[in-house]
Amino acid sequence: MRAPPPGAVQRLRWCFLALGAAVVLAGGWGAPPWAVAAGAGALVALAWGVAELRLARPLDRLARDLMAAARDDPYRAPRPRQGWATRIGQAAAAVQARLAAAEADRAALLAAATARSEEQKRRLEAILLDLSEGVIVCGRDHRVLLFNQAAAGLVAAPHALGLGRGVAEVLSRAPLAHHQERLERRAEAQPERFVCATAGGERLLYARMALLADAAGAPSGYVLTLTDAGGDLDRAARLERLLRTGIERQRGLLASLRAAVETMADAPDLTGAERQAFERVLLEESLTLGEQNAALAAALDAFGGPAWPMAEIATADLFALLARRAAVLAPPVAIVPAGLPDWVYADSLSLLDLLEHLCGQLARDCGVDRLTVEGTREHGRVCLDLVWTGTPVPEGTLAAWLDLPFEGRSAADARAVLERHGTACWSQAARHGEALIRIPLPSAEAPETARRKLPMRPEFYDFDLADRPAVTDALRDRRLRALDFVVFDVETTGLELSKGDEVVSIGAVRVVNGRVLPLETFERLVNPGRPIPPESVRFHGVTDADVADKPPLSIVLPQFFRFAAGAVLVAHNAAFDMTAIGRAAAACGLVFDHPVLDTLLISAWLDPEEADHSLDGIAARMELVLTARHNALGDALTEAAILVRQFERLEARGIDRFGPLAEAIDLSARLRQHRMAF
Amino acid sequence: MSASVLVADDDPNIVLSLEFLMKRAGYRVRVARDGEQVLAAMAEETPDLVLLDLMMPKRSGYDLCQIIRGNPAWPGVRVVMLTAKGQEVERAKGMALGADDYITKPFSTREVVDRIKRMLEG
Repeated sequence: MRAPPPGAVQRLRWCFLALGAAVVLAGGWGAPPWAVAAGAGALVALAWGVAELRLARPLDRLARDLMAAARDDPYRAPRPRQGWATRIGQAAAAVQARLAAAEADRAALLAAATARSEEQKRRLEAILLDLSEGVIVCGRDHRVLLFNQAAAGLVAAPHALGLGRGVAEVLSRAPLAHHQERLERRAEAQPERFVCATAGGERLLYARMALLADAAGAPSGYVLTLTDAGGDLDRAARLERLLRTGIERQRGLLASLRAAVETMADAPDLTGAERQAFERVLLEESLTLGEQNAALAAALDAFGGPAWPMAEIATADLFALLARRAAVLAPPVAIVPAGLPDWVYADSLSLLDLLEHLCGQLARDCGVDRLTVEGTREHGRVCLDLVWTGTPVPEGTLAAWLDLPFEGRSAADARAVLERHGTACWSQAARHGEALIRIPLPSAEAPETARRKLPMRPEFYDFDLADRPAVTDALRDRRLRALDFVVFDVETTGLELSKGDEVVSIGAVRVVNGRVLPLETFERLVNPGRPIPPESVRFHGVTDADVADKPPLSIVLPQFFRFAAGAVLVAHNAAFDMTAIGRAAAACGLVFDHPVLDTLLISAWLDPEEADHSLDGIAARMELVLTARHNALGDALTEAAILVRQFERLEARGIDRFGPLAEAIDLSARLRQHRMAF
Repeated sequence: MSASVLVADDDPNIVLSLEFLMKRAGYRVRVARDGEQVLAAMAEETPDLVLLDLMMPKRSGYDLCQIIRGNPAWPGVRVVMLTAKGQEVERAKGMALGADDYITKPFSTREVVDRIKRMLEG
């Protein structure tokens, strides 16, 4: 259809007006009504036909052109001749021209950005290609985002390593998931070093994993750096086995030699036959010793190499991961972590596999469904103890468990995990009808163990522990071991509570069944509503900036009240801590009428001849290794460990119920107060 | 009657010296060469002391020590572990399973005799 020239539109307008006027006049002049109606109908039909041709169709075409431009072709201009819609068409063309220009700008910017990113990618690829280590970058879902040729060369199935594919197609998934989980559990974590098998178990690789974070700092994936370890580890394992058996064999030979020589020297009265027998031993054993020695030297030449990589592992992490695994065993085992936080030097995945293996065997063979796991310091080692109510596992059975096929892929069998850590495990009876399996491990330093030597707080005695309202007759007769305790510590702006010093932090931990439960803790910073003096910051490290956005004690104290519900409160120099929370408690309408114990007063009663009953002094006497930092929770953990040891000593002295203990320490408090008064 | 000692070791060359030393110290000596023989000898007549090698066929010294400690019929038996396993953790395991003493090979014969004498007479 062609658009009419502007003059034609004017003429058509006049033509319609004339026809309309004729129909109206015809009615006025007495034309019959049917003729007027017919004329009006013809007029409407004609108008409709013209509007269809001149307006509706051009508008429809214009709309389609605009839709096409908007959808996928910004450069498509609406065609200009558009009947009566000419001006709309012109406006649409102008809008489209702007759209086309914006599109051109965007394309230019995109091209520039793409060129920059291509350049960066080329540089990155050049760096990756140049590395002899394999590098694989993965998202959190273990899909490969980037890898280099060295990585493809290290994995056993290079064709299975591809962008967007799961890294588990080429590497064993368990260690990757394990170390990713460990890294994500600790925000400040150093990269993890571990050993990882290829997916089919053909080869062992040394791996180093570092987390990738998104713009908000949340983990978005990880970078794996890989080197071949198989040969090294195989050699190391074989060398270790040869050395260990060789040394043991040599000890036996030396024992026979030395015993024979010493016997001959000490017994000049040997008969001829006896002397001959000893001489035969000397000769045989010397010859064998020589052969042994040569064999060991050859082994060292052949198999020297680096050992299995180990790292500092927090026992709390290990136990938390074990709890998750044990919960889905068949049958499941409930894990209760206990004891003070500590650090061991170990290969975390294989150690976890070993612990899970032992849990599974205990559940299947001994019907154990609940295990307390605890790290105990002994002879400078950290013993991992799996504790249950029942009898120990016979050594023969335990030895058989260690030789069973191993579900984890981190080692050939459970025994290999023990060998890797240079240790052994055994089962023995523990206190109170319990038994345990013990695995001693090398202890490690916590990443931060600095503990300042602090001046002691003044002792407070304005407070009768034994006569607290909650010490009912029923409580007096309760066994200490059957009570729940919440051991807590508060840090303050200063020591003069009566002059307005306020709480800046509260830390607490629960002690149940004579065990510290390190995962059941309470830790809050509190805004004291007044500046923290520098000398107090030196005490506890809590600064004004730390507490600026923290809630006041009136918010925190009810939370602590709920945490401590039903428990005996314990603190070191408890009167100070109770006084510190006392005034705010009254303001909140809370009454801390819990029974209260004081580790300082218990210590003074147990060791009256000792002068130093500070937390550090007692901990040093008990040879507690303090890995917790000096803050409210760290001190509460230390106090809890002290309390548990004190209970053992109290029981040994016949005090195993609350009443006698409260009276004893009350007496001790009065004596101390009396002595200090003079 | 003199005290009785059961020497349990599968190495005949060390048994030769140990047997001679124990006899000369005035003890009655029997010898067992594997784990089962130890239990049989114990059942036949309870000794006052067992000199127990850790690495024996059939039953390990750890296993035997645990069995001896778990059997109320053998309450006063002294157990001395004698072993080429030198790691500290092995000693800890031995003591944890109820050994009275743990002697690492090679050892001084005089020291072994002294320690056993102290244990049986002290």
